[in-house]
Amino acid sequence: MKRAGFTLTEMIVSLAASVILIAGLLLGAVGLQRTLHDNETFATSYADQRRVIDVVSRDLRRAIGLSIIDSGGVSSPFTSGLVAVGDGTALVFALPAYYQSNVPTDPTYDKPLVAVTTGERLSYGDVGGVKPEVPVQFSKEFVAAANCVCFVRKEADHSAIVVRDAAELFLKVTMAADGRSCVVEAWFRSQARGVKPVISTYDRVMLRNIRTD
Amino acid sequence: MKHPRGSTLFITLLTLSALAMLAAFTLAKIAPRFRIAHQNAAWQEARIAAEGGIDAAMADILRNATGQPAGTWTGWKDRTGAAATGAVLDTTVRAVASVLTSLGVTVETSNPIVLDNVRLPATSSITTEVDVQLWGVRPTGDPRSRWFRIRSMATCALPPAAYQAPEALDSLFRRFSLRSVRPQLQQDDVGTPCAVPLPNISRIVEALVEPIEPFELAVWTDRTLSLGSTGSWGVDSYDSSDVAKSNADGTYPGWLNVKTQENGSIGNNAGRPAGGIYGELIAANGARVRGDVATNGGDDPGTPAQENVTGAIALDTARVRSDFCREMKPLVRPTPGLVLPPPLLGLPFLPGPELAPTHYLVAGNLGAFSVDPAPLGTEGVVVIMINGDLNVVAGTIAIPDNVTAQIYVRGNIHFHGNSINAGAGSCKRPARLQIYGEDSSPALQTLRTDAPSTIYAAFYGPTFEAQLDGNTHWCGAIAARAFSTAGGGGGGVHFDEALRGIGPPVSFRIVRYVEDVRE
Repeated sequence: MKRAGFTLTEMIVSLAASVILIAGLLLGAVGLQRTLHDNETFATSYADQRRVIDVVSRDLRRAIGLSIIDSGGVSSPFTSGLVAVGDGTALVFALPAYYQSNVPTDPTYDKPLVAVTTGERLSYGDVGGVKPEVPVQFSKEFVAAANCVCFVRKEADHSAIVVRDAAELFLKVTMAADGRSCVVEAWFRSQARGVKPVISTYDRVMLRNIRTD
Repeated sequence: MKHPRGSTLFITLLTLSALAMLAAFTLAKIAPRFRIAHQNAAWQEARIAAEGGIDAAMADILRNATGQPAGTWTGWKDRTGAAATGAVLDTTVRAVASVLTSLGVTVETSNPIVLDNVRLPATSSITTEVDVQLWGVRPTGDPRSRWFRIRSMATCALPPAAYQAPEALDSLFRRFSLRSVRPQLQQDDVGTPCAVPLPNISRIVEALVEPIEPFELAVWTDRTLSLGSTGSWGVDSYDSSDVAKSNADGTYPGWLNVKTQENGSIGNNAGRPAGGIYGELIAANGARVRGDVATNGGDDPGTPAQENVTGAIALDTARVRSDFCREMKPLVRPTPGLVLPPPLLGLPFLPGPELAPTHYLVAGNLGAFSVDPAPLGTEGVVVIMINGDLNVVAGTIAIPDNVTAQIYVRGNIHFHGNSINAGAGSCKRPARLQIYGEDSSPALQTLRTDAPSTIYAAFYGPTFEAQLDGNTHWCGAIAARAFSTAGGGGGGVHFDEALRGIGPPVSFRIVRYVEDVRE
């Protein structure tokens, strides 16, 4: 009796078709994986970009003084032009005193001061009078503990990382001609293969306080 | 032969399962990103809403705390939830909650009044509620001391599923309330508890507010400002309360005197010149100004020239600015219980004690007049409300050393060539003669001098057009709709720095803005 089966030709054709199908599926899966990875990287970089802009903007809104420290350590008031944070250049804010303590472990670290008057002026202070302003420095530097270049915010004596792995993330702040508002712009080079487009985001921030510097 | 009919279905199901798993994996990867983007948008929205709460409080402060009578704080409640009715400002003033005294420094804050759970019109689909607390700082019965502290907390809803951002730095920075609300935030949720469900985000901003006084500048205008048209006309300052900055009797020492100061600032609030964004908003006409010269815009930041001020040859260009913005609001006369008619036969007006001033109502016009001194060792106040003109054709106005006269005028003011509050028997202190021009819309009124004279007075009239003779020396301050001079001459406006802190608030400004980021 002749038994039913596949001929050699049928086997070769079906195997070839299977190989093509599986190769296609594999390529598709790998491509999908790469796209997902790229999107992950983009989303992470964008979140970093958004965070650094938001941190700087929040400080700008409440600043009563702005200055730049250049790579030589020389400080100058930031009243016009632009500052690119990085390569030793730091942006320094003077924030109005608002908290009873600037030591994170102090129980009064999150307790606001009271409003006090001095002559005709109103400010924050305590029974000892008006409290002095608080310096905040924003820089891009290598942090040994994180073993990478980071954006770092230093308030009083306390330092905090804002963005890790920030070698490809750049930040600049441009002061408007009237000195009353700034444009904060951050951009990064996408990690996607082939072309590396620059992704840029910016915010326009009005300085809320009267500058005292 | 029998075909295996179930295989097609099996392969299809297998493929669909694989595709579904792939889609589920992709969605699982992407969905949190979308939720985090939504969370970050809500974080931004919360700050904007909190600032909206500050705006709402500022609007109510402007409505209720400017001018002489205290307003009714409609919509505000005390911390027990009872509606604030009547003169809440006074209630707030009297209800001093905390007095901290140490080392001779006293810090006083009133009880707060609150706007509870204000639901803002949503600019997106995010549900938002705002709680606003308002304190009087160093409250006293004196309207000049109306300082405020505003604290506004906005809470915005987040997407229902609580997601912690994959990057821990984001969580540290944005501080969402995902499963519970921090105790610190609950302290600011005054009145009825916030109805925005968890997860949500709360942000708190604060503002300190101080009054804008009517006599802060030598010349303050709302429309046009044109200075004297000769090089010898000028604006400068002195301080009648300081002998180092004035003559021994507190009078203006003269332009070249070393006691004369350089705080005679002028400002014009007019928004933009006719026919363009940049151009003349103050015509300096070659006059000298020892103080800031400020406009509300008008200067092209792209050019080194200062287009906002013309004829600036005698000005210090470093003191020319374009960032002035100060709304000028008319003041309303007081509404006392007892009002007297003016004295007959030209007899002097009689002052009352500081806390119970004498009020006079002049139904028609009023000319020259004088005021009797208050009893020795006391201070007196007289309020004269004139329905017609203040027209000093001859004679003068004489205010004694221990009396403050507040004059409210609905008509025009014309001093002709007569010196005012500057002769024998006059105190020669601008703070003692405060003249308030009332709003008589749609008519505009005038303040005029038309011959050489010396005037010691402070004037505030948002609907008045002031025109001084070029040889008039006005010692004090002038705030008017428009200001100009006529005829050339060597006169000027000499700002008395002792006027700071004098007069009722005409507006308010934010002097400190902070965000409570450690709550």
